[in-house]
Amino acid sequence: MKKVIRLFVLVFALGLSSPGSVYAQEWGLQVKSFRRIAYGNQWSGGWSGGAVAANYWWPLHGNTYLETGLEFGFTGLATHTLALVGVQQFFPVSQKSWLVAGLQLPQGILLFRPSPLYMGGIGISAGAGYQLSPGFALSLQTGLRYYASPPYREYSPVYRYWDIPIELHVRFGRRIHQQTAR
Amino acid sequence: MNQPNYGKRHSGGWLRYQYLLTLACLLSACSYLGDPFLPRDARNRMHVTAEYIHIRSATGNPATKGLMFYPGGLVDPHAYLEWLDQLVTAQPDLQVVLVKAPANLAVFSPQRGKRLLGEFPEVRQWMVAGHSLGGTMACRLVNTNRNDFAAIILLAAYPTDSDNLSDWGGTVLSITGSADGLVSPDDISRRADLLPPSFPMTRPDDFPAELTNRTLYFQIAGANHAQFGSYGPQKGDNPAGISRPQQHSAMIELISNFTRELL
Repeated sequence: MKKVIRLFVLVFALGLSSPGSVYAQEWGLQVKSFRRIAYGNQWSGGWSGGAVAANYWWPLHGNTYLETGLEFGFTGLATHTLALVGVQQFFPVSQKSWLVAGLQLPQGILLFRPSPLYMGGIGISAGAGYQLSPGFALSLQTGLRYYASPPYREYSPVYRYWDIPIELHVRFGRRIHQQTAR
Repeated sequence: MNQPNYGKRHSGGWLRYQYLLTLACLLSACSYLGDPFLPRDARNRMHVTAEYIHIRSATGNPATKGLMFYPGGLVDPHAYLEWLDQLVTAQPDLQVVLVKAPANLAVFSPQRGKRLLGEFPEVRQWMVAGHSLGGTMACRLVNTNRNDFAAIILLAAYPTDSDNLSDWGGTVLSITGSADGLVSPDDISRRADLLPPSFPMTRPDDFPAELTNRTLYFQIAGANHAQFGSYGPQKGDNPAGISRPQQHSAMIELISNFTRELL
């Protein structure tokens, strides 16, 4: 796990210092499928669930963007609604394509009645995108996502999961094309 | 006079709208969360994984009879643990596998039960049970794996038209509640032709001489829909005429008798 975090930090640092153009849209929609790789401390493969999300990107510095959004989905625990906050770093490859890496902190609730339960997590992702038209782009991303619902521990010893998300992103809006500061 | 437009072709836009509406309903649906019941509360051995919860007697050799259980739609699976644990206590030669599903909807993984059979090689005979939508998915599982199961136990449930089990050689036990506000006797009788020939039971031990290709119907007086689990009142349901422990006792007695008679 430490190696993954170091690699992520390295990729991020390289991105901050590399000049070039970036293609990113202001807002987008995502469809996600979650492949489970572990729960608690136990390795276990299988399909965990899926989600849809709407996102908005705020320029921070050069090719770095603050990502915000809302995710509606379901996993082995229940359906959920999560607020997404994260950082995304774009790496231009050509005039129409890019690579992207990101860190997300999803926080929200599991939809239970009579009352919902808190669920939160952390995720890293990487992928590639392609500009189909000035206002429309597609990207495919994957990564690693950890999420847990500590209050659900009162109901089940299985309340923490590790998933590999496979995400299709559709990006809309004004095309951002800028040089980094350096 | 206006005719219903059942056969009318809808525009693509309307269909897309319907898909989006269905998706929105699914993603905003809340699951019923039961009363807390952890392995430490169980009288038997309970093992919880991401895909199932296994309950077996803490004493003796592993049981060779198995009951796979599909929870009701949008009901957290732990809501059934209390009475399933009591069932294993009443019948130690039975082990129970409670099948979990993404979003607590068995429609997302109706065949998970088939995959789990291989994890319990000591079990020689399997039954599958389900509550409400879980029962419907139990019928689907049996319809696609007809030789793997000896019986289906339906708790306030019935099969869909695509799962015609009328010629299936196994036995079905259909348990209903007289105070059920979500599954009516009409709902059950309308789907009777999708199941093997009927035998109405008058007592919990009133079994026919021949169980093969039979559907046994038993109604628990005063039982409602939500008390087939332990998750509190359910929207659309009627108040029960008996307490939850009484309903669970009646279910356990009936299922134990049925299992002893059949396996």
